[in-house]
Amino acid sequence: MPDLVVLRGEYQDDWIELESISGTNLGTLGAIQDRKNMLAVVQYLLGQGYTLSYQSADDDGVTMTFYRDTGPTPPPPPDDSLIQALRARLNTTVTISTNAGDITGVLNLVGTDVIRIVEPTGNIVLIPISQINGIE
Amino acid sequence: MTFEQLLASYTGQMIETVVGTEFYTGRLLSVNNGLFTISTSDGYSTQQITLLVSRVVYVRILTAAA
Repeated sequence: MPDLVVLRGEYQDDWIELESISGTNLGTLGAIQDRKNMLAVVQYLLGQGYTLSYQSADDDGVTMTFYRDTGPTPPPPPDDSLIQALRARLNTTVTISTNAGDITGVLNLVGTDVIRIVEPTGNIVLIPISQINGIE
Repeated sequence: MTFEQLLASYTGQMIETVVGTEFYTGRLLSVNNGLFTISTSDGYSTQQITLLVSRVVYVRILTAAA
């Protein structure tokens, strides 16, 4: 999910005063909420990898929206006890229950978030650990 | 090794996969940033489908068809 920041500034004689700041994940932006000079905040956001995606102006001031792509959210780490149970079955024949049915074969790899099974046909099946409902 | 890294090592192979509740079959073209792309054919035309890694239930690599 991208981080978003919306700034609203009001025109002063020769500068723009930051009136409000809102957005997602503002905690990572530290002290910028204390700054009054909107252009200094814009400069800071650009330096942090944000991109200006929208701006508008009226008689009183300007509004700017910035975003920063943070990439896909990583999946939560699999349950340790499940990984231990899977490791105990390495190189044995197992039947893994998933929402799409059972898969039977030799469990030959337990990775960070994935297992690999070799079926009797020789086909290889990769199953995300988060998708496992049960082991036989 | 993560699911995405392992899946990427089978690029170019024929696969079957269930993503969400849908079944797909085709040749694995790429794996990148939480997405993977397969090329599917109905015998008349070919199309590319991009799917979410996070929604995969399983991927079967069809070694006999490679």
